[in-house]
Formats: sequence, C-alpha cells, structure tokens
Amino acid sequence: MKRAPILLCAWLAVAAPGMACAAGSLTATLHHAGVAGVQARRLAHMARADGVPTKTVLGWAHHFAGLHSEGLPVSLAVEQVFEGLMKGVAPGRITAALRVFGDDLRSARQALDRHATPGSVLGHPRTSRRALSDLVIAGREGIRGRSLDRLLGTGRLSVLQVATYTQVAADLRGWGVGRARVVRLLGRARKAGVSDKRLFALDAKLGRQAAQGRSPRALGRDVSEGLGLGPSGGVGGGFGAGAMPGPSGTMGSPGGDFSGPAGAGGGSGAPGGMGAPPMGGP
Amino acid sequence: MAGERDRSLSESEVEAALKAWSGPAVADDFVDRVMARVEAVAAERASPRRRKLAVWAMAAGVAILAAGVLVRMAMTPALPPGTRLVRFVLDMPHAEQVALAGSFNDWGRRIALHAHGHGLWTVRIPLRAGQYSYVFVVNGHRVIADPHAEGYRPDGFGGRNSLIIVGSSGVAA
Repeated sequence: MKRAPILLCAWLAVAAPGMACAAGSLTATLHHAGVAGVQARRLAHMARADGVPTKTVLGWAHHFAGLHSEGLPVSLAVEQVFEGLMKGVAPGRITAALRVFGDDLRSARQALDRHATPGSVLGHPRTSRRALSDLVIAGREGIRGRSLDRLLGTGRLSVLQVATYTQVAADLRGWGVGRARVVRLLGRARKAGVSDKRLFALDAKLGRQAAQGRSPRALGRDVSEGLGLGPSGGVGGGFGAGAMPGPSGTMGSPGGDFSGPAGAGGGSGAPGGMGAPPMGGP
Repeated sequence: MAGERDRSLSESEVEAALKAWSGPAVADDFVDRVMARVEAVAAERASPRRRKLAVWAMAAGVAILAAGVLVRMAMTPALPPGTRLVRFVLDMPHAEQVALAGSFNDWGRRIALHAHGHGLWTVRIPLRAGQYSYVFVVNGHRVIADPHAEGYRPDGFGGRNSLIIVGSSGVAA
C-alpha cells in the first residue's frame, strides 16, 4: 500500500504524455483529412469528452478525407458531426448519417455543376458552400433530380440564384407546402425573373406567418401573390395535410409528394413523416 | 382703579380713541431703511462663495447623471455591427434547465435560457442576418424543436431542426 502513490505517479508520468500524444495524433489525422485546424482540435476534444472510440473518429476522418479528395467542403460534414455530438446522438448513428450526408453532398455538387455557371461557382466559394448546403437540405425535403431540374430550369444560373431558389424551396417544404406546388411556384418565379432580394424578403415574411400558424395552403397562395405570379392554378397541387407543427413542437407529415404530370423522379418520399432521407444507421 | 378700568366707554369716547390710534407714528425714513436692508440681504446671497457652491452642486448633479448613463450603457452589451438581438422563448413549465444549441455557433457551446416564471424560458443572443437551425435541449438531454419556429428542416439524424430567419431588419423568435 505504501507503494501505491509512487505507482500512481509513475503511471501518470507514462500515461499522460501518451494520452496527450494520442489526442494530438487524432487532431493531426483529422487535419490531414482536410479538417481545418480549429475544427480538428474541437472535434478531437468533443469526441474525447463524449467518450467516442478513437476507431470511430478515425472512421469519420476517412469520410472527411474522401470528401476532401473530391474537392467537397469538408467543413459541412464536420458540422454534421458537431450537431450529432451536441444532440447526444450515438457515434454509430453519426457515422451512418455522415455516410448519407457525403452522398447528398456529392449529388448536390453534381446539381450545382449542372445548374450554376462555372465562373460564379469558382468566383464565390462561400456562396457555393451555402448553395451546396441548401441543395443537401432541399434534397432531404424531396427536391432533387427531375424536381430540382424543373425548379432551376435548363439555363445556367448564378450560384447565388441557385442557393436562393433551393433555400426558399426547402423553407416552403418545411412549412408543409407540397413538392409539386413548390417546384411549380418557384419555377414560375425563376422564369419571371424574380430577384433574389424579393424572394428572400418574401421568405422571411412567410416565416413569420408560418410561426403564427398560417396554413401551408395559405402560404402557397401568399407566395403566388407575393411574387405577382397570379393564380397558380392546378387543383391538387400537392398540398400535404396539416404539416405545421403541433403544440408539442413535433411535425406532422409534410405529405403531398409530387405525382403530377411531369413526374418527380429522383425524390424519395419522406419516411416516417419527418421528411428525412432514409438513414442507413441504427 | 378697578372701577375705572371696568367702566364701559361711551360711543364718543371710543370714536375719539380710534381717531387718536389711526395715525401710528412711523419715521419718515422707514421705507428707505427697509429697502436698504433688502438690498443688503440680496447682495449677501449673491456672494462669490454662494455662487461657487451652486456651480459645484450643479456639476455634481451632471456627474451623477452621466455616471448613471454610463453604467446603463455598460450593462447593455454593445452589439457588433450588422447583428441583431434575437429572443428565443420556450414554454416548458416542468423543465429544470433549458439550453439553446444551433448552427449560429457551429453547434458548439450550449446557451442557457433563463427562467422567467410560469414555465417561460428565454434568452437573447446577437445574430447576423441569415438563416439558422437550432434546437432546445431540456434538462441536459432532451432535444426538442421550437413549437413556434419560423420553419423546420430535417437534421439528417431522423429529427428536425427549428429554423430562424434573421432579416436585416431583425426578427424575434
């Protein structure tokens, strides 16, 4: 027993530098995977604090490295991990979500390459990053593939326009407006040359109205009137039933997935009424 | 003497006495003396010492007022340019603690809400114009969306984030 303090000190003397070295090497690994220095340090620290196994973090680093090698913004994927850790999501589910997010990001990149002018993408890296994030969200809301093509059209847009239209589309879907309705309304707005500023202003106004409990149908009508598009027509334009939040703060089913004449390929339905893409994890 | 004193006066005697009394003897320089005294008092009040005291009292008053304004300004956090104070509110009567987490700080440090009685929890944070995802964390582990959010977005983990749109004119959640 007399030797216990000595042994403890000896163990600390050996283990502490080893642990510090391990943490340092984890940060270095993340950094080599394309994670910025500050984010790498923070991620290593949070993972250690939450008891995430090193092997899992190395798996995340592998995903980050893949995205980095493809020229995709790793920071968006790191933020997804931060969000999971903050919410107390199990590490295995974070890994699964990261895999799905990586696929979504690749699809978003393809969409951006298809719809945005190369000059605007190269010239505005921050806006491009935002556009990719908005495209991922819009994809989760079912606006991807042919739906997205109908919304953004065949002509090339600036990266800011792509970001604006996808963000407003995602917001409208989040308020429960049906996918077909969103695609039709914003497609018409794009053709009519509605400015980004006007669209953003309307978006903010609709957000306040949605918070006060305005129905998805009324919000869709507000978009039409607010943008001066007149009656959008079309009975059964894809409205979901009661998609606004209930008193408990949970969401109803976004509903109303597009099944109109032009089809809506590429978009899977929203499982479980949550509007989220299917998760590969537990 | 007593009989003399108690004797009631006749009407003519009273009249004569009043006549004699109605002309009090006042010196001719009475008014001049009074005015001189008044002027002397006024001059005494306007002495340099009194004037100094008045100036000091006024300066002290201004200093106290300025200190009050400065303290008030120091207590109100200065907002960086381009930001707005946004108020987050959650009605959660049985919660022991409520925190806010969101994309505004890259899902970093949780921000504690303050209890305001009757189950109302609030916090005000400065935000730049833009869109932010956020959730409330109740009692340290329960993640919930804001029932009165301006929008909702899938979070990639099977749940939903609340959405706030901060315009250039500022909004309150």
